[in-house]
Amino acid sequence: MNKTKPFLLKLLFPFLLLFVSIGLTGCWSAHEVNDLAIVNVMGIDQTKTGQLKVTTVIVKPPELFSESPIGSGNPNRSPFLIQTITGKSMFDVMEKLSNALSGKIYLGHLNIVVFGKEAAKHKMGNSLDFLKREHDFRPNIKLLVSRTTAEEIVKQRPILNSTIGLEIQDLVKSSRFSTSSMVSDIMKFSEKLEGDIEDAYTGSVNTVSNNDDSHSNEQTLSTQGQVQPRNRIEEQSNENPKSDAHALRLQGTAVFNDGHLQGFLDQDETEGLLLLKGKLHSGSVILDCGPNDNGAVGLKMMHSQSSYSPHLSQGTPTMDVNINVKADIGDYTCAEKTINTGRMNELNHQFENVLEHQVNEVLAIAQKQWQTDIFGFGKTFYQKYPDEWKALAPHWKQGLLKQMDVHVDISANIERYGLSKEAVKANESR
Amino acid sequence: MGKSHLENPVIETQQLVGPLNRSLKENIAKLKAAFQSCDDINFLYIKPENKSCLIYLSDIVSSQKLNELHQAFSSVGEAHDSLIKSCEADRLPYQVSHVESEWSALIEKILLGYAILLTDGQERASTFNISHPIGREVTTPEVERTVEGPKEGFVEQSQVNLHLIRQKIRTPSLKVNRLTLGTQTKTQITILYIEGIANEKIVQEVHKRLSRIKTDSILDSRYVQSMISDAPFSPFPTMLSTERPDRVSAELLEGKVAILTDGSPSALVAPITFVEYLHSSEDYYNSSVVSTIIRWVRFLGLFVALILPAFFVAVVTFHQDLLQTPLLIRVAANRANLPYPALVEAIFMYLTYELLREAGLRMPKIFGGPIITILGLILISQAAVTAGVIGPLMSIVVSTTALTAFILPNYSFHQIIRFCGIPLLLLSGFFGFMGILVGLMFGLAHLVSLRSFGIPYLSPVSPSRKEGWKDVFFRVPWWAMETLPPGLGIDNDKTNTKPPKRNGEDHFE
Repeated sequence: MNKTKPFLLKLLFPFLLLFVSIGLTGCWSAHEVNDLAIVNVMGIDQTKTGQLKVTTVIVKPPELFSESPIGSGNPNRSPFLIQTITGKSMFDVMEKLSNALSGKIYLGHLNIVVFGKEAAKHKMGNSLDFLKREHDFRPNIKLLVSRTTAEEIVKQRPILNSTIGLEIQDLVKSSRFSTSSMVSDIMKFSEKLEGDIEDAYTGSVNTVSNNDDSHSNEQTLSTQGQVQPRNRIEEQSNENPKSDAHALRLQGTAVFNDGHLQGFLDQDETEGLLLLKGKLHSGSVILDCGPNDNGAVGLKMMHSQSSYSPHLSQGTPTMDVNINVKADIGDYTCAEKTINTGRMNELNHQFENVLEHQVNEVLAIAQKQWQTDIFGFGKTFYQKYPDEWKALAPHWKQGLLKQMDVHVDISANIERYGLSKEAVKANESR
Repeated sequence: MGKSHLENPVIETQQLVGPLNRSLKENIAKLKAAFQSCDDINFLYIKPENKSCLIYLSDIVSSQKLNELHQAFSSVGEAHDSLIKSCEADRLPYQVSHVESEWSALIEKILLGYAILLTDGQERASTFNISHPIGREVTTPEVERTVEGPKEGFVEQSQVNLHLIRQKIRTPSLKVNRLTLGTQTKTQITILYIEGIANEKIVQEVHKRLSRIKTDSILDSRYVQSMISDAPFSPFPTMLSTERPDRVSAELLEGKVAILTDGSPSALVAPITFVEYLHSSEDYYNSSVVSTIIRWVRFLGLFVALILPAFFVAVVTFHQDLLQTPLLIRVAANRANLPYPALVEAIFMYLTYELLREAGLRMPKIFGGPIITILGLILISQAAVTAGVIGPLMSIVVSTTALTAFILPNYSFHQIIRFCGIPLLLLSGFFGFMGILVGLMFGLAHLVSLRSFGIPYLSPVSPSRKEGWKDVFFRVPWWAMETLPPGLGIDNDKTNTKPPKRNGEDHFE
């Protein structure tokens, strides 16, 4: 008996020490999920006095998923807490925000960051600095630029999703006809913004009000097809539709030049940009059937590929761009012509012309007018002629880019039309 | 029960040793003294001369056999050596008879249910086995149930158990060694192995360890297990205890050693490796594809039973980033306004389950038994969720874990895995995934360090013997099971179609 007791103590002592130390440190970095203030979207604007105005949407999970929607106390309570705070810097804003909240600000599930037009022009770098330093912030969050203010976008109520962040995320991810791959995440965006070789670009988002939806002149056929059902649902769900009910729309590209917002590209120009970069994996083109045919050929772009070949002769840079595009036939309503090899060549040629027009359009704006290198031309020169690039670099934005000749060679291929060689039409003989 | 053999040395009431006396009277007096106040002992004198006496314990012998014996001797009359011999040969051909001249052996025989015949003027006694063993019939095993395969299970008498195994393995190579353990219980231990397949060194080791046991009582095979297993402080069992004769036979044929304990329906098998606790005999009766899938399901079940609550607590308190946004919002909505942190909830649920489980096990069948455990867990967790004390997800997690743990086929292994979840849960509550990982690493280090009768516990995975993986990660079809499991020391092959391979290490060098 006498021998066993000290032995047991000896055995238990380290465990005791261990347990005491665990108990003393406590759950050091633990924060329970119900103590978090989950920030869903963040909108960054600039005030007229040059300060940052940050609008954050914080989810109130219990209100979002109230178990009995009929009985539970206050059905009209908004499931979101929207806080708008102005401050000198992002850090300042976050400090003020944390004073206004009872939970810990949690940025790990921030879905989308929206920059207002003014903020994108002047405060881009400053704001990104905070986001890059903040450790529970995910670097793959999508970054968007609003055509007006970010606040306006962020304050929208979600229609199809539970939160506005998810709504925009899905808008970016899955809208079928929109050219969504120009939306950058924070990581890639700031890489380009900080580097001196490429210029940054990202998607732009704006709101379209129900009332002036029909007046909106920028839309192509395809985007309208996407947006209209969205509006209809909203009308049904809102018992008393307000006049300022808006729908979000991903539209075009925000183009940056030397870290500041330069301007916006519209849908067609964006497609041209993506063609140039070989990133166009969806999108549509409508071709005419001919001079006296009312029908149309709808083409669904499936895949595109591009390659840059830079050349340097006596200090003058030129650029050859080869683009390969594959497309399927979406619909075919030409009354007269059936599909055969000759007709396919004809269509391919027509298709190439349309695409070439799109590419030239975007080159005219971004390269010639704005002198911004969102295409990554400079990078290819740097990679192929690293030594000569040192001499080129200072002049690149001062005219060299603008004067550079870009030869675009497009080969389009419409594939897989299968056995449906004629347009479907009603049999009128019966 | 449970007297420590170290602290209370056994004192027999009346030591009766040495040879027998010539005088019947003195012998009887000595026996009466030894069996003082044992009212069930009977001294039956053979009439008419009263010169010999049958001595037996009245309640453990068969009265019919006793009658026959008595009649036989009565008809002979005066008992002489020659008469007894002829009597045995003529009248009692089926009776086992031995002649003993030592008191200790004699007393042992009496206690085993023999009748002994003491005759005046003789220094030895004849013994007749007229015992009438009582026990269960051979029925289906209660714990290790299978859908397919043999349905019989071991019972408490080791003779019957040996019978069951002999019925499956009919070869003289199946060796049976007997010894008696326990100064009070005199329990019969039977060691089984197949000569030529089992490693001699392991057999010797088993003998050596068993001979070192000094105890007063062996009431179940686990007594033996705890006294001869390799790592006495480890919670992990290093011997398999099973109640299935088919399982024992299969292990014997793989070259293992089995130990039957009289009075216990479970046999011990050694050496054993970790993965074999995840095997069920049914694996070998199903098709190999099905068994392989089921094995992987068990691996999954092992991890779920171990770390699911810990994982959930870690995610909810430390690593919310790992959830997708809609799920996070769901979880947050579920956990809103809950009074306790997730760790406390999990411990509460764990305790509830353990309380209910133990209560269900001890509960008389008439009150519902194990069904109460499951139903009670569900009802109480449901009520606790409604009352707003614990979150619904936590109740799902703990119920899933509690039920999943039963996927582990071996009960003692199941218990250990269940309890290993608790330290992991605490670690995850304090340190998140870091804690779980560190806990699992300590566990793994411990498992790797274990050995079962010289065989590394995690073999054939670590140390890696790839030829053994055919029965670890897969269960290859029977036609592909050509070699014995490696690492047992004899790398010969079972079907003798291929030359014996000898590669890799020998664990007995």
